[in-house]
Amino acid sequence: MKKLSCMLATALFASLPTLALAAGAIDGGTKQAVNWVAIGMFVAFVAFTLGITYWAAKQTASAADFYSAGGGITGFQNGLAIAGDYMSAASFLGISGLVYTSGYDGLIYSVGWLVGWPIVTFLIAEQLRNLGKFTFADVTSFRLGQTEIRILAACGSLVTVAFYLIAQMVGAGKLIQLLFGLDYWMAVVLVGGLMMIYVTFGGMKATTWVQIIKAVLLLMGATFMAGAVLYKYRLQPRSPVRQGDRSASKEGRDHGAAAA
Amino acid sequence: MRRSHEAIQRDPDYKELVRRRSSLGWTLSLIMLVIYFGFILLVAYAPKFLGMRLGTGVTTIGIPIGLFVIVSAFVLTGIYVSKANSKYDALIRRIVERSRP
Repeated sequence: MKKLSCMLATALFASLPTLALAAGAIDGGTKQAVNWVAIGMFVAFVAFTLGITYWAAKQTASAADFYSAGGGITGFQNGLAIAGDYMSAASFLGISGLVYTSGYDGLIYSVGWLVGWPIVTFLIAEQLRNLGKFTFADVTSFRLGQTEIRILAACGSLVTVAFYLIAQMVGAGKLIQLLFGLDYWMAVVLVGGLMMIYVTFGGMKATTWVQIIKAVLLLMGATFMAGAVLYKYRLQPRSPVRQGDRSASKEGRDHGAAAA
Repeated sequence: MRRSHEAIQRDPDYKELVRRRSSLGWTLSLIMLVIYFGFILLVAYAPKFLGMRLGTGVTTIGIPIGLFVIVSAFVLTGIYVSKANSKYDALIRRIVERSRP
């Protein structure tokens, strides 16, 4: 455990310059004025989800409770939670932004993300369940050498975390900075601290419920936005960009293709 | 538990479960990977083909192909889940029942 936390600290320390660099790479615009409405909505949402975390933490007694919510999550709830996990800020903001700026190429990112999930289901999900274990390292160390497998798994996790989490933190930090008008480093510390509180204290039950809420909110938001855009352009999904001037149809089509 | 894990490993039901489930799992994974990398190779080497217009609209043939990749992930998962629910879970229950003292 001590070794692990030492490794974690090293990874965190090593990632600090990258965090700072990555922030510089996507420096967009000037600092906003402090936006109290956005802060209020954010604080209300955080308070609500922290309340759920507190409620779940009180009910968490064993490792089974912590990792798998004591088996008390139904299939549909778990499906929503996994959907919430899947539909991160990336699908709501990142992918739409990518499709907007680089067109069809943006679709590759959403496809690649999705395709990994069935393969996990086909190859390891059932083994995890049948063994009654909770993590990949638990399953592999069931038959292989404990220490080596756990070190390997920890290295794998840390490498993934280093690349994945940095992008997430930069994105979240940038968003909070933009919405709240905070300094970038304060935004990153705020988001990171909240993430750690959710997972450390709540365990899987809180994470599941927070993800369910997120999934429902994202699905409603995305459906509303798609519906609103379609309504605005008279329910004709063909060429939303230049629907107005039909005389310049050829040119309009080219612009539409560039944006679509 | 009276029966040891060796006894379970000798159980014909267990052998059938392992054989059938891993063959299905690997087959579906392979199909998924072929579809995905086929799509990526198309993007890399035949972007002109993906850019072909369907009819007179602005939609290119790449959109239905991308949708096909997404839908195929759902369909393959559906196949696996229906097999697991109807066949494998029953096999697992039988193996567990028989290994109880």
